[in-house]
Amino acid sequence: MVPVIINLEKRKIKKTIILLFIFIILNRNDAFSNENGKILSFAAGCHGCHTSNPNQPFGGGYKIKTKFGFFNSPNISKDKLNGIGNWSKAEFLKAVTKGISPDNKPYYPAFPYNWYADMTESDILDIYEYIYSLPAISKEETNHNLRFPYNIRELLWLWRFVDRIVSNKKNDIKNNYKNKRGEYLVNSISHCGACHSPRTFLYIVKDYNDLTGRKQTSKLLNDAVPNISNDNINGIGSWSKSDIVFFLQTGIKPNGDFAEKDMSLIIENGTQYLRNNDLYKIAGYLLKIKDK
Amino acid sequence: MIKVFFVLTLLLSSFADQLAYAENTEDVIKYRKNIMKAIGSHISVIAANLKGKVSINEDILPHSKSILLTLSSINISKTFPENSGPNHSSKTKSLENIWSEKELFSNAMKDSVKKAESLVIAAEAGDKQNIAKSLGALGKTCGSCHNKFRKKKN
Repeated sequence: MVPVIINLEKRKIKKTIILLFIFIILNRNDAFSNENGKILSFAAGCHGCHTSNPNQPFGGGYKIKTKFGFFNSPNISKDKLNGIGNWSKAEFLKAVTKGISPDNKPYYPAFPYNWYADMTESDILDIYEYIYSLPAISKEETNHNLRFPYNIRELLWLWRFVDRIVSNKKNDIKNNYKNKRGEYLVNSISHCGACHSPRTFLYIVKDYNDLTGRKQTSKLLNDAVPNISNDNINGIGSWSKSDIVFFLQTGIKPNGDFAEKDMSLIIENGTQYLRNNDLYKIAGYLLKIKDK
Repeated sequence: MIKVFFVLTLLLSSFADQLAYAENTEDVIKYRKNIMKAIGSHISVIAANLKGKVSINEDILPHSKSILLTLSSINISKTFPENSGPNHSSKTKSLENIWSEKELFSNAMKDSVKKAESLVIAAEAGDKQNIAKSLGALGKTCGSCHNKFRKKKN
């Protein structure tokens, strides 16, 4: 009788150990997933663009000045009334990759969904889970303050139609960046082209692989953006990989000068959080991009 | 005849004054650009060691001290005199608010000096990660000053 009881006890201990092991593995995966979501939320600019008060992450209210007027970033915290607390994962995926809200309204392209369209579902959902792991911020959304006719949201359907014809980016065909981490980070997650790709008719990006910068659109805005192709004179071709990595971590250029205002914010709220090997992959890819 | 001579002398002296004034303006602009370049060069030397491009780590401390010394000895009223703004010369990238918001500019400069002091402390301790952090923090104050008081580069 006694050996049977001992055997039963042993089985119980075995079961407990196995359950404990499974529990640890599952928790480790969650921790990893959240860490990935956190880093990507910074690298993709979600945190930087949707945070105006550092104590209210993702609470929105960040102002973006453009030649069309001011954009006020929305609250994307998990608050049910003012944020995205009622959104399903499918609605979040649609918003991020298609630029369409849950009530089927088009987003202004200040939100770079055209770049996010190529992000993997698991990366986007890691960001979703990270946002949902933080407290809800009950900050009310402020409307954009745009000039006529840009304030008519319905016109964006027309813009999207023209964008599809003019641009070389087709969002229904997902680019596969498997084994191309640098290209994935530059052309999708970190959406470098949203600023560094030249814009054409109706502010459309014609070529998403062109990172040769942008000329000033207005003297008042002072919005020229530098060429980051591998050209030695006009671009960053004379920079080494470690120069680019150091710049994306600290904002310090090889000549000892510093990043300009917008880029310094992107570094502060985004690229400095990327892992070292990801930064080297970005550098490697950027140094391959030719001047057009 | 004497009257004509008097008027001519007056005109010439005023022209010479203007020329000297212009030369002085351009000189001081060039001078302060050189100070900024010198700071940039010291930063590049430290950064080259942090990036691993060279391993002359003993240079980090003297160049950190040089940044502190250069920044803390800038005499704002002499290096940025009233007549050296964008309204007086096209050669400067300085913005007019250096003179209209003097206190703000002076505080921004003091902030950079504080960060340079932290850089020297980190360089003395010798931990490269901390040096990189301190250099980044100094860079942030320099960048923030440039963003407020320097015309954006095209």
